[in-house]
Amino acid sequence: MINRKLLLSAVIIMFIVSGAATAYMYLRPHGRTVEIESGGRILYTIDLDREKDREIVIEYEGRKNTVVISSGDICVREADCPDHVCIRTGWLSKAGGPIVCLPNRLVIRYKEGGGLDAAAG
Amino acid sequence: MQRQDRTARLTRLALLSALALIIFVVEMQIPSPVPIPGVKLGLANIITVYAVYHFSCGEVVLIVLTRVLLGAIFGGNPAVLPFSLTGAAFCIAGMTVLKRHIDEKDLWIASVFGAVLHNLGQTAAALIVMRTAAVVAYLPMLIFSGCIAGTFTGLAAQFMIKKFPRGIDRK
Repeated sequence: MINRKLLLSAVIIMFIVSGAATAYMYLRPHGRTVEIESGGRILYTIDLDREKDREIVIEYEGRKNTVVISSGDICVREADCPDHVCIRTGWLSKAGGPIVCLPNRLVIRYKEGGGLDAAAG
Repeated sequence: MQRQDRTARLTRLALLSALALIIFVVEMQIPSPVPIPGVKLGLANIITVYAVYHFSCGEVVLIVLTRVLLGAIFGGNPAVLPFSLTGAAFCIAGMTVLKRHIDEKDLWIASVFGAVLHNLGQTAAALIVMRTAAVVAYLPMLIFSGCIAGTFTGLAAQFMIKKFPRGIDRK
């Protein structure tokens, strides 16, 4: 038996640290350049400040996601995946993390200035 | 083991698998409050944590594998199978070790570690499948939600054990 107190404090520390890291993910500063990745390849790099409003359809193995750029923000409007998590994530500016569609291997995220360490938090 | 015993054991495993599948399908109808891939209560894991403490590791694998595979068919989302399977593998491996160190009275603590390990496994699978480090950005949220979901399912399993102290694994 491992000490019960030790295990309990491990749980509490895990809870607090991950909670703080989550809050940081929402509040951390980020640039205005967005990358759209499909199946691990970067398809588009978009500067939201300069991009005109438009729709991009991204296909992966025959399944489609419709990405909308509007007033300097970006979201997924339509997807033919079963769970629609990417659509319900909403606008990237309010998401606190990348927009991810696991079934269609799609990731929309702010381009990292400081490399991967910043993303790992 | 006698033939009768083996049949009884098989029946119990089938019963638990069916229970887990029903919970899984019902939970699927509840929309997730946070639209983050991988975040959910995972109520079906009430059965998993119960099984970890009452069955052998191989039997737990059978129960979870049956539920995950059939769940993907009923849920119509086989594309997320690699993530659920890796998560389940991490969770079962971790909890099998932890059950030797954590008393059944504190099952919820083991459940928290199980849930967090599940989400770590999911993220590992996402890293490989999506081929992007961007998914790591969700790790803090997944660990945080794992703590909450694990506590909840663990306590639910404890209530179940209290309600049926003789369990369904004993005659």
